[in-house]
This record gives sequence, C-alpha cells and structure tokens, in this order.
Amino acid sequence: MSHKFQKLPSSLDRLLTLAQDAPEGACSFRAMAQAVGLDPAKDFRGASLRELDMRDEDLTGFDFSDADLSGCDFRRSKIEGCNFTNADLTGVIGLDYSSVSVDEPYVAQMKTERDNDSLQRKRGFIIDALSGLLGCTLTRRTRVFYGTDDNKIRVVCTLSKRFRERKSYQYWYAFHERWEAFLIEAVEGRLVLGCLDLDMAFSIPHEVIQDVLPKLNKTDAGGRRYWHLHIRQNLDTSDVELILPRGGQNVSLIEYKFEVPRNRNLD
Amino acid sequence: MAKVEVINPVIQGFLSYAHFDLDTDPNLFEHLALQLERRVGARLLNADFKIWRDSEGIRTGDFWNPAIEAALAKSRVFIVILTPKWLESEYCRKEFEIFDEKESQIGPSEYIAPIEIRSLHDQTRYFTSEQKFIYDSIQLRQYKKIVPADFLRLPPDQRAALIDEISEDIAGMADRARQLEERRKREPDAVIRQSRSRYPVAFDSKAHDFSKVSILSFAEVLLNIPFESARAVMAQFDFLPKMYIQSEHGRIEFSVRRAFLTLSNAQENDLRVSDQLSRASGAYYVSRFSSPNALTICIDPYGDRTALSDQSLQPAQGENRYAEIAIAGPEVTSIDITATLSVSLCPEGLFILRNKGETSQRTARKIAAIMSVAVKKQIEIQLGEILHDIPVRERSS
Repeated sequence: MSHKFQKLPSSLDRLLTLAQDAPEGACSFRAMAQAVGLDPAKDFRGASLRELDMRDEDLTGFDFSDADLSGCDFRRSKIEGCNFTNADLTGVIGLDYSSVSVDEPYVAQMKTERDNDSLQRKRGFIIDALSGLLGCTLTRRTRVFYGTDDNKIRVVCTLSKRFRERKSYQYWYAFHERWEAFLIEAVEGRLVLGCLDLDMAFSIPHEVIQDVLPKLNKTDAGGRRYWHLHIRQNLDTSDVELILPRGGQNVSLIEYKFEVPRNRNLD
Repeated sequence: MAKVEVINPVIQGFLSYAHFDLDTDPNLFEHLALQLERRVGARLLNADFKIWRDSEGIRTGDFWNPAIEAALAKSRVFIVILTPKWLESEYCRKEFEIFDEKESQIGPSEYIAPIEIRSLHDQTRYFTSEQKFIYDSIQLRQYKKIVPADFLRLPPDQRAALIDEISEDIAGMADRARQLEERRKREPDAVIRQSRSRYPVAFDSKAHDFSKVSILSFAEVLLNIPFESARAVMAQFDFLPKMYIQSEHGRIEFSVRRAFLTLSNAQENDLRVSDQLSRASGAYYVSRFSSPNALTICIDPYGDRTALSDQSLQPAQGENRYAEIAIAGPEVTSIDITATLSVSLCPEGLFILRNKGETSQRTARKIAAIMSVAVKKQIEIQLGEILHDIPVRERSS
C-alpha cells in the first residue's frame, strides 16, 4: 500500500521548507494549501482546523462548510466568498457575521455589496406584495424582521437562490431560534420564504412552522442554532413542498404561495 | 442632569513573574503592566482589562496565599514573564500549573501568553524534570521574546509596536473567554468542547506508520429484526488510535478526531432518529451541507478519549458492541440503506527534525492542519471504497 501515499512525506517536506525559507508571517495558509495541491474550494469541507491563528490571512473563496473551526482567530482576514455553513464556530473570534452570515446559505456566498443590495430589493418587493395581501403596512425592523406598528403582525422574510445542482431540493433556508422568539410574540406571525429567481414566495403561518420544527434538521454553530428548511418541487404533482427529513409527511406549501412582482435585475 | 457613569465589566489577566526579575528590571515591569492594560483594554468593546499582580509581595515564604488562588480563579488570561528565575520559583510554577489546568475548561484555544525576557534555551540540561515539563509546555505555545536591555533602548514608537503585538494576542484571548462565558450564561446546557491537549514533545512509539496500515480496522452497520413495527439500526467502527507520516525533515502524528456517518434510505422518510443517541455518548445528529436530507451522525470521542479508536460508538444499553444509531420502518431492508463514512483527521504532533530556521508555533499548527487535510484527501482518493461504502447487513438474531 505504501506507494499509494508516497506523496505525503514529500508534501510535509515541501511545507517545512516553505515555512522555514519564508520570513515569519510571510508563509500564508493559502500558499501552504496550494503547495500540497489542496483546492480551497473543496478540500477544506469538514476539515479539522481547530484553534488556528488565521489573522491577516487571505481566505477568499475557501469552503469551510462542516469544518471544525472552534477557537480560530479570523481577525483582519479576508473572508469574502467563504462558506461557513454548518461549521463549528465555537469560540471563534474576528468573524464579521454581517459579511459571512449563515442566516441564508446563499448570503454566505455573496461576493459584492451589489449582490446584497439585490437581495434587499427582492425582499422589499416581497414585503410590498405581502402588505397588500394582508391589508396592513409592514415596517422594516431589521434585515429580515418586519411588523405592523402595533407589532401584532410580525413577519420574518428570508431568501434563497435556486440550487440547480441539487436533485433533492431547489431552495434552502435557515430558520433561527431568534426568529422563533420574534414570531412567538405576535398575534399573527408569518415566515416568508422567497425564491430569488421566481416571482412568487410562501407566507407560512408561524403555527405551521412550530409544528414542523422537531422534524427538521438542526445545526448548532457557535451558539447560533438554526433549523434547515429545504423546499422542492414535486414533479409528479407539481406541488411545492417543505421536506421533513426526520419523519412525517412533507408539508405542501401551495396554499401559502403568493405572487411577487418580477425583478428583472435578479434573473 | 446628573452624569451617569457606565462601568464596564473587567476582564482580569494574571501577571506571573519572579520577584528577582522585578527587582532587576523594575522599569520594564512597570512599563509592560501599564501598557498591556491600556492597549488590551483599548481593543475591547464594553469591557476593561486589568492586570492582577502581586504588588504587595504576598508570594513569599512557604505559605501559599489563598489570595493568589482567588486571583487565578478570577483571571481569564495568564501572562508569564519567562526567565530562569521564573522557572526556578516554586510559586511561579504552581501558578502556572493551576492556570494550565483551568485553561482547558475555559474553552477551545489558548489563554496563556508567555513573554520570554531571558532565554533559557542553553540551560535545558540543568532543568529538573518538573521544570522541563513546564518549559516544554510553554515552548508549545505562541510566545513572544523581549530582551529587557534592548527593549528599554528602543525608541517609543518601536516599543509601542512591540507591546501592541503582544496586546493583540492577549485581547484575542480575552475576547474569546468573554464570548464563551456569555454563551454559557445564555445556554447553561450547551456542550462546549475543551481546548485540545497540547502537542506532545516526544514521538509516540505506539503510533502506526500510515503507509503500512489501514485507518479503519472495522466498520459495520446492522439492521435488527423488526420489533414493535420498527427496526433498530446498529453500528460500530474501530479506528487506529494514532498514525504518523515520516519525511526527511519531519514527522507528523495524527488521529481521527471526528467521523460522519451518513445514512440514506431508498424509501424516503422511513429512517428516523433514535432516542439512544445523545451528545453525552459522543455521537449526535447533524445536518451536513453536502447531504442535507440524509440522516447524518457526527461521531466524536466519548468519555475521556481524545480521538476515535476501538469502539468509536458507545455500545447501547444491553449491547456488548453495537450502538443504536437510527430507527427504520419495519419494511426497510439492508439493501435499502446506504451508509457512508467520512473522517476528519486531527494533527497530534509535528516534529521538525532538521530545522534550518525557527518555525513559529503559529506556522507549525498551520502545517499540521494542512497536512491532516492532505492526508484526508489522499485517503479519499486511494481508499475511498473503504471509507465510503460501509457494509449494511441484516442481523441474524
């Protein structure tokens, strides 16, 4: 079997030489990864990278999904385009959650401010349409929270792109515990799931969400707990359904569907 | 209107030093303590940083003053002024040992910041075994060097820059400790893994040559006979506890730190979670980015184990070997279930044999982490069949 792994000792030597030849601090994580032929976009998924000092590193485009990053220090590192979905972020410092949000898996992959603007515009269209439908004015509280002035109606609005490469689902959302806390206070609470490429969204009553939460997969990422919501189109029935991976019948979302004016810029 | 003064919570750092050194370089100590307090504090939002130090000389004689223990208990960061006299002092070593034990409970990463002001490198042959143990432990940390005479001669801006570098390390430790403390308050039941054990300083003679062994010595998933309209899905895995890769210039030792077992079923929704699996047993359910709809079990070492080895899953009650990992419907057969396993490797030690220059701990850890990813990749390329297709069979009785 030895011939199969003959590259590894030479990889170790290459790294040691690289580290010793470079002045302190000049040997970057990216350079080391490339020196042994690792691909930042796929080889670091699920990796054990505990307690690494990533200060000042250029980590643009690294996919750290499912990785163990507990105790890492990301201060001043470049993390545009990084994927931190499902990563263990316990004790991590220096991560700017506003730019690497795991709220919406798609947002974690956003690269430019313009993309974020597009997301917010789309959200605006959805909220306008929903306001008309409910016959009330919904005012923005945070990026995802909306409500009437008397706070009786509360809405959480989240977005997903279409995951074209996935067969089992087309849209993917995260539903956070703090969202649950926001909706529970309302007389009428709604979770709105928007689809970036479609001129429709789903306004799901909070009670329906509460019922299905135990049947969804859940992630605990450094104190940020959230459930995964996957939506797929059933090709046999043309139904759109919320998948319940932990048992029970998938929930049809057709009755919660509403039209949203098309935003051409997002196509 | 009366002015309301906002009092920030204080994060305390413990300054451990030998009195002999303080008497020798009083200016350096004054400067360090004051500047570290200011510059670490300046980096913290809504918190102040204070340094506790024995300014009243309570660390004298044979009596171990409980005030020191109380100060250590309250401190989140431990700053060592490393010198021969510090290592010689029984008091200083005891302070270190107490905090070292506490450090692992704070959470992942380090909370001890050594600053070497006089080199000990050439005197290692005079160490007692206890001194050697502590010195080795400090060497495995990210530490800074300051030569007192040079430091005090530095122009103010360079001196400030040097203290600033140390302050940034300490501020990071303080920030992380604060974050973890808040999380524990918010979620008292949260399981926060402790810091990893520090790297060993000697080769492990029991480690196996990676090129000659298989990382996984046993893997099986079983379907119990139907009972009360359900079939328990059982599993067990044996991994080798430690492996190494030897090169001309170094050697890396690693172990399997975590494994993911993903179960998917051709009959959708007929596979569900089992109540038998809990975080306390080291195994728990997760949702994986790569397979969000499958039932995935994350397997961490249970009990006192630090890596996965024999019987990676804690056997279920009444079972000698297998753990219950899921429940399947009565109609499900072994043909319906696909079980895939992927592992995450953790570096256990990096030993550099021929050192042309000095490699910092920061860089050494990155090398070790990247090597563990490279090894994982090679395993997946070369031995994919072993790691991915775990046999699923019907249990006969």
